[in-house]
Amino acid sequence: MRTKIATLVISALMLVAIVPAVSAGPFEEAQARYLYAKAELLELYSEWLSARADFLQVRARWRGDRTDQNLADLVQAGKEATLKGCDVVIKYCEMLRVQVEATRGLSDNEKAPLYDEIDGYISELQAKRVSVQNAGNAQELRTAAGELWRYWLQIRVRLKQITAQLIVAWADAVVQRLEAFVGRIEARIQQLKDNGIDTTSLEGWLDEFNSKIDSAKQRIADAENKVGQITDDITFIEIFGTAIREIREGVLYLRDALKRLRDIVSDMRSKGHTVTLSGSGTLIGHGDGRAYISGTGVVHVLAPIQGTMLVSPNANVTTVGEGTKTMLENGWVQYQGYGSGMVTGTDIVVDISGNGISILAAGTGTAVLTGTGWYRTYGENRYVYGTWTAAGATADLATGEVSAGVA
Amino acid sequence: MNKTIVALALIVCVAAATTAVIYIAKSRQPAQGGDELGSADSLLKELEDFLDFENQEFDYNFGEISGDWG
Repeated sequence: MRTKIATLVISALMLVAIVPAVSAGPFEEAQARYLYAKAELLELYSEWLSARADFLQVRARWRGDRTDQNLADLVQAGKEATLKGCDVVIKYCEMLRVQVEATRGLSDNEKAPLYDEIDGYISELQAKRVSVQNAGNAQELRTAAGELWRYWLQIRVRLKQITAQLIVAWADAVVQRLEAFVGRIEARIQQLKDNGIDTTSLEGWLDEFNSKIDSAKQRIADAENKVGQITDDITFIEIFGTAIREIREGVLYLRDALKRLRDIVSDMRSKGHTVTLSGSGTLIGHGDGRAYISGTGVVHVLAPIQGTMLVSPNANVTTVGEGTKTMLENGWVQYQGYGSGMVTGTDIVVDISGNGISILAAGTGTAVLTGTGWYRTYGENRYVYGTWTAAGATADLATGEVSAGVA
Repeated sequence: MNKTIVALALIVCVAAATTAVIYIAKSRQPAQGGDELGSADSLLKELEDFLDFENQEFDYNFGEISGDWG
């Protein structure tokens, strides 16, 4: 009886112990699988180098003494090395596939064709592996190895291009994560300012943050331009390397930007001002029609709108360029004709109607988009890319989820 | 002997479960800044690791096996 109870207790406790692994998000789970695949790849790569060294040794022996036995040994060593090499490149493709899963910033509909493409490469490599396996003599082996080699040369440029695409998306997702946080922080700073609290130092750090994040964005955009140039077998490694350097510089700026956010949050908290960052996300939207955003954070208007922007009375608005500002009877404010602007606040509403809408909404709340255009969301664990139509799309900034229609 | 094994297993499981409960409790606390910024830091670290790995030169040259052996 006591043993049975103990068994039950152990089972229950073990169940509780594995919950953290199960409760990890899809990106964390994919990242763990990526690390595992990377370790397997490195092991296989080591085996491939060893098998190739063996092949070169046996080939030297055969060159010195061309006996049938030495030739048979050479065919065997060549086959083993080619199979190992094939296993490495297949594993590389598998690892890249998992990395696609683990990459934040790309939507499911952007990932799906990448999965299909990489799966196609894996299938073709596996078929070529069978040809190598079935090679019965030196000529057949060299032919099969040659086909494999040419196929690898053919796909490796594209694989590097995909890798660069993932890196850019990843860096961009980090930018948007920080933008989401700073949306909430800016709203909170504005709230403190409205309550008469001196926020000079916070705003100074915020300016530094914005400067760093702008520099990071520029480097990431430069790297993105390079991705399109990874097209031929001669220059792709060099261009890929340049893109990596751009991203590395971008990462340094992102680290600096993150440090400024830490300074701000730390300072606010040390003075007893709470600031909640969880439940934040961003939305980027471009198009014509209407964008109705409600929530807490910041709405950046990135380009002149051929139309109007209505803002709730509790929002703080800064504008750039010439335009008309009209106070409405209900306390709302209408803006027309400005070049760009920024709306900040807690529980605010920004209602934009017209053509040429280009916005970045950061913080928490919802965005309802109607008309024609495209959007991209960066939620805490979900990234959606899509188009908005007359039927409308409603996005939750925090989660990144988008539902059809007007909520 | 059996009782010892059960007792040891219990100790291990209690330790694992305690860790798990603490982990869950922490992850369910509303983040007030530090934790969330830490997650952005982790993303950057993972990105840097990925860049380091992908910037390495790997030699997959099957050409010498398919080429002339003589």
